[in-house]
Amino acid sequence: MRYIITVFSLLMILLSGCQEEEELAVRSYPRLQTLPVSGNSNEGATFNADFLLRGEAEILAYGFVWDKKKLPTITESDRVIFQDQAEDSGFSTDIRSTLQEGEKYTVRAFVKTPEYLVYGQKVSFTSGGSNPPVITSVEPLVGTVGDTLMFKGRGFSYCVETNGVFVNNMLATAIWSTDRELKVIVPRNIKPENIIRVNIAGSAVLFDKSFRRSSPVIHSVSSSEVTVGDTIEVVGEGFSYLKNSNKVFIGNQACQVLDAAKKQLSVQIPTTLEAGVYVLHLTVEEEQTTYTSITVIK
Amino acid sequence: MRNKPLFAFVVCMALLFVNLPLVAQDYFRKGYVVTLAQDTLQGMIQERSLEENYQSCIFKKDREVKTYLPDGLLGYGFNDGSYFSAQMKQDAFVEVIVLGDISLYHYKNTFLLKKNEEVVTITENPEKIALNEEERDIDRYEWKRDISRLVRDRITDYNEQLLHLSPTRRNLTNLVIRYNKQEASLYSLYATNQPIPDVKFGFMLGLNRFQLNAGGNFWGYPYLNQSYESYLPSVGVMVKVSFPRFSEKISFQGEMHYDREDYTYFYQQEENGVLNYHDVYMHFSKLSFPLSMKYRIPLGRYSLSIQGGVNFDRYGTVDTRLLSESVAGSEVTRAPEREVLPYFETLQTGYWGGLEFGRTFTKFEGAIAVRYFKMPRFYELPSITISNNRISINLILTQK
Repeated sequence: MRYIITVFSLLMILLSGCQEEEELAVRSYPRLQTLPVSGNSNEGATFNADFLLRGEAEILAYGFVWDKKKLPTITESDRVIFQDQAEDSGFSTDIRSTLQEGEKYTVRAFVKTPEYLVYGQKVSFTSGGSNPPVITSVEPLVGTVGDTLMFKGRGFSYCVETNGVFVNNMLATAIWSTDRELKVIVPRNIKPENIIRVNIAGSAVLFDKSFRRSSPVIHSVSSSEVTVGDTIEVVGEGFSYLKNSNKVFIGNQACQVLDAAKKQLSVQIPTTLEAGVYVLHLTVEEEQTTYTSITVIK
Repeated sequence: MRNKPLFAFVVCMALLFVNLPLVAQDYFRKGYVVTLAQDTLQGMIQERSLEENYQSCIFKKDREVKTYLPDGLLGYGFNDGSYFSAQMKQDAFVEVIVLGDISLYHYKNTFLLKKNEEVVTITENPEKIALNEEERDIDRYEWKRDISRLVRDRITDYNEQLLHLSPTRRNLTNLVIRYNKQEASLYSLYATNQPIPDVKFGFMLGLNRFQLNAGGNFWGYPYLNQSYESYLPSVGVMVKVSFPRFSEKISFQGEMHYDREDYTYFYQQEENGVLNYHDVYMHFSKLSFPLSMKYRIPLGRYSLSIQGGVNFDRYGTVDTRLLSESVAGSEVTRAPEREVLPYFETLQTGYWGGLEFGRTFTKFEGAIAVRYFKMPRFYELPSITISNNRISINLILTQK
């Protein structure tokens, strides 16, 4: 009887201890699962993922995408992308910016192979907030309205509209961004010295240098004797790319700016102008310069 | 290792069977023999099946083992009560139930009532009767008339009761005792050590084939299959309750089994250029509580039993997951994982039946059983009903 009890006990232990390994179906792509978000605090959160089946496919890139309005994708949402070799078990990363406190986000892990872009399932969480971005440089620091400023740093948002950049408290239009670079257009109504501030997901940071408004300078015009209706080329520096921001007057008559570049303006001589010798005035964001002289002949 | 449970089951079964001869060695109980010279010799008597007890007696005294045939003894008995006499038949021992003015004996499937020199033999088939060992076909009530004739000198109000009497051990024992008591005559009741009830414990090893069968309208449930299968072992304990004074053929059995069920199903479907994959993983562990009534047909040392009853399953682990992925062009999107059976009832009721082929060993009774369980409402969706059917082969070892 002791022998029977021994065999019985052995079988009980084996049977209760046996956990059959799950046999996952093999696919031609890595099988990925997004894990719950961890370390959710006012300084950010940690995104996690693991491979259900790593597979044999080469992994070109991997990372996470997240969004608070729609199903996140690698083209339209915030993301973090790694291109080193992913571990077989999985991957995770700390996200320290772009997460707004109290907002509900959806995150997905992704893996890019030569043939497939594989998304893990979506995981939702409510953010505890995050740190502001870090600005390491802004170029140029001298310019005028319509100029493009290039920000470098980390923690910017891939979603262009999420990056709130202010120059002298005026919202600058962001035109392109990654998590490490950001391009914005200098807005109107700036002052000679302008504080630069970036606000992402409720967290703001000031850049330690200010943006200085430049003054236009006219070196030459294409013709100093013109007739009404002519177009002249004004060559110089500190002009605005925005045509309407370059105010050109001959005498007291406003000229239409046909084309504008940083160093050249195309200006049409007003048809109402009387023959005579005039001074050309150019104003860009309150900064003025003049050129003498323009002779108008009939 | 995927088949680890199955491997463990096979190893343990092999160990058990290889060593069965060790476990099943001869077993002796205290007893005695009455020699032809009417001497009573105390010693040990080998415990064997009833059929073997009718044929011979193996007696051990002072390490000497001797086999007695019916012509070599007046009888033999066990110290706990039962006694076999060689004086009723020439070539067999018969079990003595009552000795008195009317004595009652049992041999195979017959009862013998002896009064003076007259012996009435009653088979357990009531349509047969033998008078003074001469058997003949009679009508089904004739044996009752013979019994009535035997007892009417002391029991006069017996005819009405006799109408409803069936020739069971209990009925005949009560009748003979009542007859002997009427005149306050001396009588001896044997085999009274048989307990009421008789409770035996055992354990069981099983190999199970679980099958989930789904029926109904599958619209909206593309990931559900019509059938899932799982092969896994089980272990269990049992208690058998019988009432041998009333019937040695019927017993009641309660069991508790521990087992697991694992199901996997992969399904893919193309729809509007999108390839959808669905992986279904279901893992269960549970305790089963089969309650049954068993009818045993003795076949000498062997027996065949039919059994049936109800079964209760109490599920502990219920892990049912659906993993879905869709492939649109080169983009793979995994859907959130969800439960396949989100409203699973962890207590389920069903019924079962089975056949059991048993053999009596010295120390225990062993049996191989084939059983079928049906849990008709394993899971119910608005349009689909899933049942769980189980076929199991069990090795059952019960204390004797």
